[in-house]
Amino acid sequence: MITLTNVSKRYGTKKALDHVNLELTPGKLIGLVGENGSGKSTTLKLIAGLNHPTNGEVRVNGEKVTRKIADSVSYLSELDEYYRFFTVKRSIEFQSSQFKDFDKEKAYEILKFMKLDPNDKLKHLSKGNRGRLKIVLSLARNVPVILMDEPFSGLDPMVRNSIVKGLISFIDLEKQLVLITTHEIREVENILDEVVAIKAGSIIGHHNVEELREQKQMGIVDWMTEVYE
Amino acid sequence: MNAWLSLTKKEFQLGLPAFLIALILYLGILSGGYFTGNYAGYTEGLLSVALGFVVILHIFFLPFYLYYSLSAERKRLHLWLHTPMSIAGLLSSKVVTGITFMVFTFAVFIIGSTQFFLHTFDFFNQETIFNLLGSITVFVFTLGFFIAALFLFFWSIFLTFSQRMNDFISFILTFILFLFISWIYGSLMDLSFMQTLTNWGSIQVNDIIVGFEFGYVENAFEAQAMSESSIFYIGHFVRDIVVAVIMFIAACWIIEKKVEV
Repeated sequence: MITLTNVSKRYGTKKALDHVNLELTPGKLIGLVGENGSGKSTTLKLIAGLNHPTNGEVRVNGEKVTRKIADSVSYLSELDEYYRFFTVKRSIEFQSSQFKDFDKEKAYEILKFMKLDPNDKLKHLSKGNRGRLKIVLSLARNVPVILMDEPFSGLDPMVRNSIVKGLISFIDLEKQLVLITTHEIREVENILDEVVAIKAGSIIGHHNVEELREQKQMGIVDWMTEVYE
Repeated sequence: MNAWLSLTKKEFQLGLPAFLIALILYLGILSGGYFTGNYAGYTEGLLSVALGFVVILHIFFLPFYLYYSLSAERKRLHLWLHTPMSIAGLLSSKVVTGITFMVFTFAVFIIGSTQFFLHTFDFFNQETIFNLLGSITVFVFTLGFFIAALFLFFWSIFLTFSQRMNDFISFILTFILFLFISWIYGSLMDLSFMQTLTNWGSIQVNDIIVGFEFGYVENAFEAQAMSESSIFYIGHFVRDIVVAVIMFIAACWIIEKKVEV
């Protein structure tokens, strides 16, 4: 379980998050949506222990978050930076050496699904293929929490849909909580269990997607349009 | 341990260009010394100076290596810091890699220099060679480690500043802080109490070569070594090691607590 209690985050004078209270339960695929600069990436970095809250507290499974939470949290960054001298295979081997929970067999299975050649050098991969590799590396960990910051941003629109659908088969929805930030809401809408909308550093809505459809007859985009206005 | 070894393997790949840059610089200096000496008819003299310079230049290899490696890491802090490994583990992996590269070129150049001096100048004997070799090795490595720890400490401060302001202002602030802390440290070390605390374990070393005199006498090249005796204090080495360890621990703490992605 992820708990943010009265969390605020400032970068200098800029307020990134403002008194955020959020509780996310395991076994769900949750979308964190909002416009650019709304605080989505900051939220993920705080949960990953890579940023420190200015106020408040972040906990993962009851443990106060520090950088060491990497033990139980897998984090995929939106940034396209990587070790250029690695091959795809070496990236997997390296990740496997750094995280005890890394499942190499699963990694190669996802790699096959993503149609990546293990012998390709990262510096020769297209942006889309580097994006696929990032997904492989983060999903191959058997951790309770997976955080994915814009995982589909570099992907070709033609294959994005099939990759999104394929993701489900590589997530253990009994045990894992997957928190995804994305702008490709229509593509992920069908796989999300919950959606959290964030605006100017504040949570403006948190819904079960199924209930949203049944009770309000709304899709996520329609609901977002409504709450944003 | 496996995680650290695998990380260190990555560090070798990441830091290899820094090692090659240093190697090219060393070879460039030696070639420069050789060709300029040849041109001026002063080959042995200028080659000796170039060799000595390259050996002494090793003092700055470790800080340069760390600068190169950490600058590369700065672009991908989300990858470097997203690990359960301690910051001490992450940094020590870089330090060990840097030292390995340093030992490799230092050993080659110090052995090469020794052979060159032994065969070129007749004033070298076994004792002077060992004194020279020993004192230069201790001097280069002690000072190299100290400057490397100093660099790590101030780099962590620079990194913290740079998250709140631009790089130029962060550098200026870090530099001012460096001057201020150096002044405090210098004043502290000048205290008679600190002198008493660190001036222990004196070792007198004779025939330490402190310079060379080159010249032409009757159309023949002549070289003379200038040597003197000096007293070294083990207490000073211990003090430098303790200060370096404190700076390393402080750098780890700052990165852990203050640096963000």
